Amino acid sequence: MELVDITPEDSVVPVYLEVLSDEEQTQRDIEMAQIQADQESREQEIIAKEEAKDRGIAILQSLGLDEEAAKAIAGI
Amino acid sequence: MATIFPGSASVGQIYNGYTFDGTAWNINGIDLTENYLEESSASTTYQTKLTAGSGLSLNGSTLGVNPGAMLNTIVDGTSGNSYGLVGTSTYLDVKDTNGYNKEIELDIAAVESQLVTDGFLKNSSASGTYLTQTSASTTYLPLSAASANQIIYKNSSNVATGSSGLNYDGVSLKVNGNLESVYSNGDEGGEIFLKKAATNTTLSDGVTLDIHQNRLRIFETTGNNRGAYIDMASLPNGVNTNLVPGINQVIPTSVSVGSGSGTVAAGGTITFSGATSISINGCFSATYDNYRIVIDSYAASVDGTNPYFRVRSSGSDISLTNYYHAGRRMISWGGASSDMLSAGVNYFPGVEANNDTNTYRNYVLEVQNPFKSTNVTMLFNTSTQVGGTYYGTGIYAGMYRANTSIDGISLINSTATTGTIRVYGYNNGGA
Repeated sequence: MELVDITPEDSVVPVYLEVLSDEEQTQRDIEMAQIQADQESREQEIIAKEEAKDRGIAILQSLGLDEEAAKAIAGI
Repeated sequence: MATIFPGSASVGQIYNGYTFDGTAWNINGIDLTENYLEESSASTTYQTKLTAGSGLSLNGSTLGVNPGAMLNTIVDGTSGNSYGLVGTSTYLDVKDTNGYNKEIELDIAAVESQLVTDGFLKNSSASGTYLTQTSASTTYLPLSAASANQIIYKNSSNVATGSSGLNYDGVSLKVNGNLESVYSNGDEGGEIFLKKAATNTTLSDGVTLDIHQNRLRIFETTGNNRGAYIDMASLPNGVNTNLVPGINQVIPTSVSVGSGSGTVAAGGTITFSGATSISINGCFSATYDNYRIVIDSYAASVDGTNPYFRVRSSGSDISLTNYYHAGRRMISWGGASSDMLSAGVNYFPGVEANNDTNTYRNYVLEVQNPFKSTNVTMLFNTSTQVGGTYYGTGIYAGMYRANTSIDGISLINSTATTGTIRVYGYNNGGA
C-alpha cells in the first residue's frame, strides 16, 4: 500500500490516499466478499434455525398441542 | 589692627598693600568703587592676591569667599542678558545684571532644613557644610537604585531599591513572581480587568475576572454582564477537578481514505467525500480511557455489501481473527430480524446493507479501553441505514480480544460514501 499525501489546506492533520496495488486490491475484494459471505451465512444459519423452530411448533400444534405447550417443547 | 596711613600721599603711592588714588586708599587688587567687590583690572598699581584674613582669596581667575568672614557674597555676571548670584544674610538671589531684578530667590536655610528632613545627609568639612543624597532617603528615590526597565521602590528595610522581579519597558509589565490583587471589602475580593478586542467583538467594554463571595467570576464588565462563575466552595478538596467538559472531541494524528478525499477541521471533525474506506489514526491515546464515535454518511447508491470496522495499531488495520461480537439486525427486507453471533472473526459488523439509492448510514460506536494494551477493547455499535427503498438497524456488541494497544479504527465500505466522523473522549474528571 502506498500513502499519497492529499492533505487539503484547511486540514489540521495529514490526510492520505491509500493506493493499493492490483494484488492488494484483489485481496481486499476477496476479503470483503468473504466477510460478506460469512455474515450472510451466519444470518442464514440463524434464520434457518428460526424457521426450523417455527416449523416444529406448527407440527406440534397440528398434533393437538396448544401454542404454549408446543413452544415449550421447541425450547422457546 | 587698623592700618594707619600717611598724612599725605601722592596719587599711585603704595603703602602696606594699599594704593592712594588721589582720594582714598584702596586695597590692592580689589575695586571698591561700587557697592560690590570686583577684581581690578590688571594694573601695576594692584596686586592679584590679597592677604589672608580679608575673607577673599584671588588665585588666578578664581575668587574664593570665606563665608565665616563675609555676610554677603556677590558674584556679578557681565552686563546685558546675564545673571549674577546675590547673597543676603538669608536668601540666595539670582538676579539679572540689568537693574538687579530678582528672578529666583532661595531661602538657603529653609531649603537645607527641608532637605535634611527629607533624608539628605548633612556633612561638614573644612570648606563648610554640604548636603548629600543617600539611598536611605525616605522621601527621594535615587535613580541609581534601579537598572534599566526596573521600578524603584522601597523594600522591606525602607531602602530605595530596583525591582529585579518587576520590569516595565514602557509598554509591557512583566512579573517574575506572583501578581496579587489583595483587595478585600465586603463581598468583593481581588479583581482583574481585561480590555475587549478592537474588532470582531460584541463585548461592551471588556471582561472582569474577580472574586465575589465564594465565586470566581468571569464576566462582561459592563452592558449585560454576560459571564459565568465557579463556586469554589462546591469543589472538592485538593486541586484535582478537571473543568474541561465531560466529553471532548479528539483530533486524530492523521486520516487516510481508500478513495476520494478527506479533511480534518480544527475541532477534530473528519469530513470525507467519495471514500470507500476511512481510517483514523491516533484517535485513541492515554488521554482518555473510553470513547464515542459518531458517523454520519450518505451515498447516492449503495450495493448490498455490509460495511465493517477494524481496529488499528500504528497506522495499520488489525485483521487478525480476534474479533468477537453478538447482535441483532432489524431490517425491512427478506429475513426481517435476526440475531448474529460471531467468534474469532477478523471484523466488527457495521450496518446491514442492501442495494439501494439515497442511502444514509449512521453509526454510534462506544469503544472502551482501546489504548491500554493490558485490556481487551470493547466495542458497541448502534447503526441505522435508511435508503430510498429499504431501512434497517443493527445493535452489536463485541470485543477485540487481545492485549494490543489500539490507537485507531477503520470503516470499510464497498461503496464510496460521503460524511463526517467525530471521535469523543470521555473525561474522567480527575477521578
